[in-house]
Amino acid sequence: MWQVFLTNVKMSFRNFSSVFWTLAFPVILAAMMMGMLSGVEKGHTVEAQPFAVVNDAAWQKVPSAGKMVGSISSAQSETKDGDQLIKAHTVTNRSQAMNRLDEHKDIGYIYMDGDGLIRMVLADRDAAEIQSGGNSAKGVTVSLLSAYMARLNQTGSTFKVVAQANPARLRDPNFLTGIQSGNRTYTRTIKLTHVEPTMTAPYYFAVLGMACMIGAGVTASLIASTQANLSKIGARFAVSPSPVWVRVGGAFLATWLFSCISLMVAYVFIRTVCGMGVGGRDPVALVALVLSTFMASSFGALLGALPRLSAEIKVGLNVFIDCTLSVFAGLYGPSTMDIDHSIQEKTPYLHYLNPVKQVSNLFYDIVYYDSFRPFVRTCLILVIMSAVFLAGAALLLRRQRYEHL
Amino acid sequence: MNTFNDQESALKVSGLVKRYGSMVALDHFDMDVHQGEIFGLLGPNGSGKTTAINCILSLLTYDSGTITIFGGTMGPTAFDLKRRVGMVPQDVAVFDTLTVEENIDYFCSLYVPARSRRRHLVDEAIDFVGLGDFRRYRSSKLSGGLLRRLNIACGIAHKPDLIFFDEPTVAVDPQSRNAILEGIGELNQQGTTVVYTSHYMEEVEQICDRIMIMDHGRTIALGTADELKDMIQVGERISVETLDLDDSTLDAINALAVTQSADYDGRELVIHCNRGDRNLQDVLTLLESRRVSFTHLTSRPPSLNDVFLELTGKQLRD
Repeated sequence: MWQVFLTNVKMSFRNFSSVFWTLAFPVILAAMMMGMLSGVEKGHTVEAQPFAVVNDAAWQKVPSAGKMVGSISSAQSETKDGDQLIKAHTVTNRSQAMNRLDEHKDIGYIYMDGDGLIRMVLADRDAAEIQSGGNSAKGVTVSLLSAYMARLNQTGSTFKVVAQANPARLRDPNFLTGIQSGNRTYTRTIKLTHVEPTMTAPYYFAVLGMACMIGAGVTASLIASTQANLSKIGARFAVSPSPVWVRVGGAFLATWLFSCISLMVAYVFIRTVCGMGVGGRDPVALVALVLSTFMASSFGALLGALPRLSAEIKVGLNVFIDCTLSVFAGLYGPSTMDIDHSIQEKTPYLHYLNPVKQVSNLFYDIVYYDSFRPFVRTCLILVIMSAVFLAGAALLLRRQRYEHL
Repeated sequence: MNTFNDQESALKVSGLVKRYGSMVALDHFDMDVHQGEIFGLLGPNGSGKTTAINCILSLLTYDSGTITIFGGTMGPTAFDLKRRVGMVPQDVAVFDTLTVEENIDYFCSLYVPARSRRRHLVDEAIDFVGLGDFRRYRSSKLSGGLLRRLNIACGIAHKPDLIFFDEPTVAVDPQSRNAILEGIGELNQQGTTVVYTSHYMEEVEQICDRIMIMDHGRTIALGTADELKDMIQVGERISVETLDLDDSTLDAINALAVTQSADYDGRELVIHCNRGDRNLQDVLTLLESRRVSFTHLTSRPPSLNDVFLELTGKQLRD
C-alpha cells in the first residue's frame, strides 16, 4: 500500500488540474475576496468626517456643547485619528457653514438653536448617500454623532427640569456626577467573543469551506481510476493480486494528504496575507484542517465509487455540489450571507447537511468561542459525515467487485 | 517458438457461458492452453475473444463453466494465481503524469512488493521493450509506438508465467509491430505461456503454435496453422493478369478438375483451386495450349482467412 500511496501523492502533485483547482484556486479566491472585502471592512469602521461648528452666541451659552465637540473632533491638522469622530471647522454663523457645504468642504454642520438644543444639518448629497447606503463610513459617523447630540440635549433638559423642580439637588455633587456620567456606573464591559469579530471573517471561513470540498474532486478522480468498469488502468488493477482495499486505501490517503496540504496553504495565505487571525489557536486550526479534509476526501471517495459515471463527470459533479453548497454558506456576498443567516435562524438543522457550512463553522468555533465545546460538536458532525460517506463508498465499491466492463 | 508440454495446461476453460441479457456472448466455450506455447485466439470483432479473456481474468462474471489456471480455480480473490498472470490490454493503460520507469515500477509493485527485487525487474522490462533512452520521460511525452511498448512493459515486468496480449499491435507502425512480435517470441523462449488475440491473421500465423478460431462465442476450429488449412477444401488461389482471354478458354479453365471457380473481369483471371499438388501446372499447361499471353501470374496458398471463410461463410475482418 505504501507504493500505491506514494505514487498517488506524486500523481496528485504533478496533475496540473489538481494543483490548480485544489492548491492555487483557493489562494486566488482568497486574494479576490480580500480585494472585494476591503470596502466592506472599511464601511464598518469609524472614519472622521468634516463638519462645520457654528460658534455663535447661542453656542457659547452652552459650554458643554463645545466640550463635546472638542472630545469627538480631531485636531485641525489633516492627520487621521481612528478614535475621533469628526473633523471640526469653526465658523461664526450658519451662512458660512452653508457655504462650506456648498463648496463640498464639509458634509454637514452643527449649531445651537434658540431653545439651547444642539442640532445637525447635513448636505443634501451626503444625506442621500447615507440614506441609500452608498457610504457606510459617513453613515456610521452621522449615527454616532446623532447619539452624542441626543445625549447632550437630554442631559441639558434634565438639568432644566431639576433646576425648576428641586434646585437644591443641583448642589449635590453625587447627583451631578450621576447625571453627567449617564448610566456608566450600572454597566460593565464584557467580551462576547474570543477574538473581536470582523465583517470579513465569515467570507474567509466560507472560502476555506469551499476550498476544502474542491479537494474531494481529486479523490473522486483517483478512486474512479481504480475501478475496472470505468478505467483501463482500473482493469489493470483488477487483474493484479493487489486487493481492492489496498488500491482504494492508497488513493484515499494520498489525496487526503494532498488536500490537507493544499488547504493548509490557503489557510496560511488567509492567516498572513489577508490578516484573518485565529486568536493564537493555530494548533487547533491545524486539527480543523486535518479533520475537514478527511471529511472532504470521504465525500470524494463516495463520488468516486458511484457506478457508471466517468471520472470527468464525477469531478464536474463535485464542483457543482461544492458551488451550490457554498451559496448556503454565504460565500458569494452579502445576499448569500443573508441566506446563510436565514437558514441558521429558521432551519438550523439544514446546515448539518451542508459540509461546506460545517467546515466554515469549524473555524467560527475556533475564532469566536471561548469554550472548545462548539468546536468539538462540529468535529463530531464532520466525523459522522465522514463515516456516512465512507460507508456509502465501501458499499458501492463492494457491489462493483464484479462489475461489467 | 518454444517446445511445450501438451500434457500440462496453463489455462483450461470448460463450458463457459456468458450472457448479456438475451444475447449469448460465450456459448459453452472451451479452451485449453498448454504450458510454454503461444496460443492464438482469432475471430472477427464481436466474436467473443475479449469477453472470454475478461471472464478468464475475473473482470467479468459468467453464467456457468469452469476456469482453471495452472490447475487452480481462477476467481477475483485467487491472488496466488493472479500473481502468475499478466495482461497487456488492447488500449494503452498507463499514467500520464508518471515517467516510464515510475509507471513500470508502480504496476510491478502490485505483484512484487519488495522494492529491491522490483528494481531489477523494472530495469529488465525497460531493456526488453527498448525504452532505455526514455526511462525518465513522462508517458505523455511518448509517441504512439513507444506508448505501446510501455504498455507491454507494464504487463510483463513482474515476469508472469501466463500472459494475455489483447490485440497489442492495433494502430502500431510496422517497425513497432515487428518489435512487439519479436518481443513476444522472446518472452515465450524464456518460458512464458502466451495467449494472443488478434484479428490480424498474418500475425497469428507468424507467431502462434496453435490457433483457435472463434465466432459467435463458440470455437469454430483449433489446431496449428497447417492443420487449420488442411481442414478446408480450398487450395491455392491463382491470379493471372491477361487481356486476351476468350470465353471458350474461361470455360475450359472452369472445366479443369483442379478448379473450384474461375472469374475474369477483362484484366485479371482469378482461379480458386481445390487442394492438390499440380494446380499451377495444370492451369499453366492449359493457358499455353490456348496461346494466352499474360503479364503477371501469382499463386497464393490458402490463408487463415480462407479457412474462416469456408468454415463460417464470411470474411475474418467483417
